[in-house]
Amino acid sequence: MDEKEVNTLIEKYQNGTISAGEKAILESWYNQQAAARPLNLSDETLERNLEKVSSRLPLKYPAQHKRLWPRVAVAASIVMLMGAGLFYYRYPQFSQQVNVVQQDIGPGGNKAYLTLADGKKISLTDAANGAIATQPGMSITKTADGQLIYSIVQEHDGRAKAGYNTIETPKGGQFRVRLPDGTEVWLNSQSSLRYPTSFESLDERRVEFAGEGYFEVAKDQAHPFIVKSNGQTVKVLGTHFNINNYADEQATKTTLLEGSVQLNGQTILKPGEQATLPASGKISISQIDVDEAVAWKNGRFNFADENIESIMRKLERWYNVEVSYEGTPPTETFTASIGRFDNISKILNKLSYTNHVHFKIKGRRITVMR
Amino acid sequence: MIRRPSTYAKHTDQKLAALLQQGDEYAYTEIFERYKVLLYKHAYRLLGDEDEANDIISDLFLALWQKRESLNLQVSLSSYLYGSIRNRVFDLMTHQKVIVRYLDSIQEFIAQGHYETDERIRAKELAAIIEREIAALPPKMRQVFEFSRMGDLSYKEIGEMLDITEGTVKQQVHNAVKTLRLKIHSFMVLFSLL
Repeated sequence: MDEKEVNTLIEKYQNGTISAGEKAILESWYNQQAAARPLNLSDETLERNLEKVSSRLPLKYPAQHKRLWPRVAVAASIVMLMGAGLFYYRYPQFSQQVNVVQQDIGPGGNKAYLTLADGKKISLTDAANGAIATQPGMSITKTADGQLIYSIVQEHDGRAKAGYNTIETPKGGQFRVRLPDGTEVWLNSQSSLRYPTSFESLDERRVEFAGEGYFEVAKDQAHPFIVKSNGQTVKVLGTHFNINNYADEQATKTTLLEGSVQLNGQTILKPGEQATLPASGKISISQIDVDEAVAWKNGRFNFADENIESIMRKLERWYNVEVSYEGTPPTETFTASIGRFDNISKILNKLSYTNHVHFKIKGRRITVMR
Repeated sequence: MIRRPSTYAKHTDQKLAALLQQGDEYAYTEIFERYKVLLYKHAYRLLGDEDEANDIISDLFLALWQKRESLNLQVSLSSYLYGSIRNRVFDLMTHQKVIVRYLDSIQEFIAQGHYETDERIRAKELAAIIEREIAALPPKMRQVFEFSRMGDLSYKEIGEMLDITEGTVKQQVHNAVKTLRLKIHSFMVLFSLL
């Protein structure tokens, strides 16, 4: 049985036209493999990959319960209450102002982790500025403005196989990286980019991406730049575009600012166009305001007729908060533009001025109410 | 490490599947937490490639969430998840030249000619593989697992696994409950005497 025949067999298996005898071959083989193949997987690798998988899924964990802290907190608040009582007893004129004090949550910042080809993981948040690592023929530098730069230090002898590096931003993080070919990528929160440390011996510049990112691809007609993300492949020669394919969003959105890109080997995008690819279905193209799509990269949130759930997902990622709804979420849409580096209260206050929505902040949890 | 709420960790697979169908995100998360290590190891064993295993597991769980409402489990949750992995592994094999990796192994297998033609026995083989993989988990993880999925198997499935009839399983359960009742009864009597 050759490659083609095995392929046909599997296709028949998938579409249900396989005979009982053929099915027996495939499934028995699978069972034999599942039982007999050795497993070479360290706990560390397992842990790392499961973390990666988790970051792609719409998981929701309940609030943590730790044993010690509530008791300490209760004790502390009793002391504070006693103190406050004493204070107001003595200075009654201060009691009014206390109600104004509100909990707040600060914005995200330049935070990321870099995983080198040998599996070594570096926290870029904590790393000092300057050279942070070397890879064959390559030096990696972190700059003061939160950027990672790959530069060629010497002609690398021979065609050593390029290893892969991965940069990942957590919730509340963003980072900018310049790849060895000069391409720059801005990563929004909860995003990851996997790329070869050198494109030198490769015909194509292939990277893998998840989350939200803005790409300024260096021009090189001979070596197409290819971004693979869940269910979509974007092929470009040199151009500026934004990809948003968060696991908790309905669809992958690709927005083109300059040049041209090809999606999944067929659809061509023109500047000012956005391609939407739902989890199951076809790509649709619409004209949009590109500034809105890349506002995050320019340090802003731009919401144009956006529903509250979509807005809250963005805030969740950037302010590293958990959002829950009391009752059904408001059906109204909201339009606003505000800086990403303000505290969360500023945007929440703005939204609540509409009187269509109100919020409660408790720790890192935000409750949305009508 | 994020702690899971005790109520969800204690739910049976069946209960979790029902909650998932109603759109319970915590139930979905618990299913992932419960099965992630097992399924990842299983997929990685077959594929031998981290990224491919990552993709298969994330696609499987994304689909589980997206299709939660129409989820119609004819078999236990574990059989369903392992079955989905099998389909996805086959799917991956036909794409991107991955099949080349398996060609020798398939050819060799066919040449040997030892197939299991009985579909039920094949399902049993896979169930046995799942059990072995659970048994290979670290003790603490395994215990949580075994407890929480006890109520999940139907009499029919237990029978198939142990190679006894459905009637025998029912009888065994009936006997066990009767023994327990007797024990509890004598304990109560003893207790009332004190």
